[in-house]
Amino acid sequence: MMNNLFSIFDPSTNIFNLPLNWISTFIGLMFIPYSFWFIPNRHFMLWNFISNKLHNEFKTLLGPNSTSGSTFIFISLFFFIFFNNFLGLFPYIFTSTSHLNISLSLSLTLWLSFMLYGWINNTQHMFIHMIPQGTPMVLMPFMVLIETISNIIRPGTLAVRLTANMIAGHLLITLLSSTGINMPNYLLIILIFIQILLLILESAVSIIQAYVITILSTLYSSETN
Amino acid sequence: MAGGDSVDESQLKGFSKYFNSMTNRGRANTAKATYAFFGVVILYFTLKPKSKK
Repeated sequence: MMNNLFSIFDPSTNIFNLPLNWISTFIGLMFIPYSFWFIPNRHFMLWNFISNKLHNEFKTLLGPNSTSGSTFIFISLFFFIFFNNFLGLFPYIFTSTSHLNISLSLSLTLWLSFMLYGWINNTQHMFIHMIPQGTPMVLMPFMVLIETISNIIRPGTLAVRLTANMIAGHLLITLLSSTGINMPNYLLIILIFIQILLLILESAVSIIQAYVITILSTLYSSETN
Repeated sequence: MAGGDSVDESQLKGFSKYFNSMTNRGRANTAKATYAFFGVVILYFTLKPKSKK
């Protein structure tokens, strides 16, 4: 029963007051393919194809000065967020990325490590990045303030963007489905059709949001080097 | 981002030599100066004795 609009997101599966719903965060691990035989199967080839595409994208963004292997963390981040987003669309699977504690844990950790590394090791470079090249003289102090503030709010925006997108999608589907209880059959068909479209949209959003958060993290990382 | 290599530093004179948005040094100096200014303002208002009425 819905006590309030957001009660569908409340963690509720528990034994002896242990919140077991968070275990759904690890379901994505089951989709990582095994390499049992030397000849790869379709699952393995698909995984490699996606990983290589992501690797080429991130390598370009990170630039030639990046350490070899820097893309791995971002590829892992993509798959983690994608699986959590996508599996949350299935019935009875808890969407852990629709909670700020998961998204903020990811974004705050990454951002803090980038900032600490950047300001301690490349201080001059970080000061240079505070002003875009070619800014008019009059606007320079304001640009410093704007860039500083945008830097500080980055973990918040990263986390809230993901959480809000997940909540919005699931809420829309739940709200529409709750109206179907007292609906005549001819309207129910239209409702089901709309729900199917919404699910397709949410599947796309789950991939896009995972990609966006990963690309932005890559960009923020490239700024520190 | 090369950052200011295409700009001839000898062409910049006076204030613009140290504070500009084209060279790396100019950009860093401007950012540091802005932070220093606001730091001084905040420090002034923090340390200013509160007038009692």
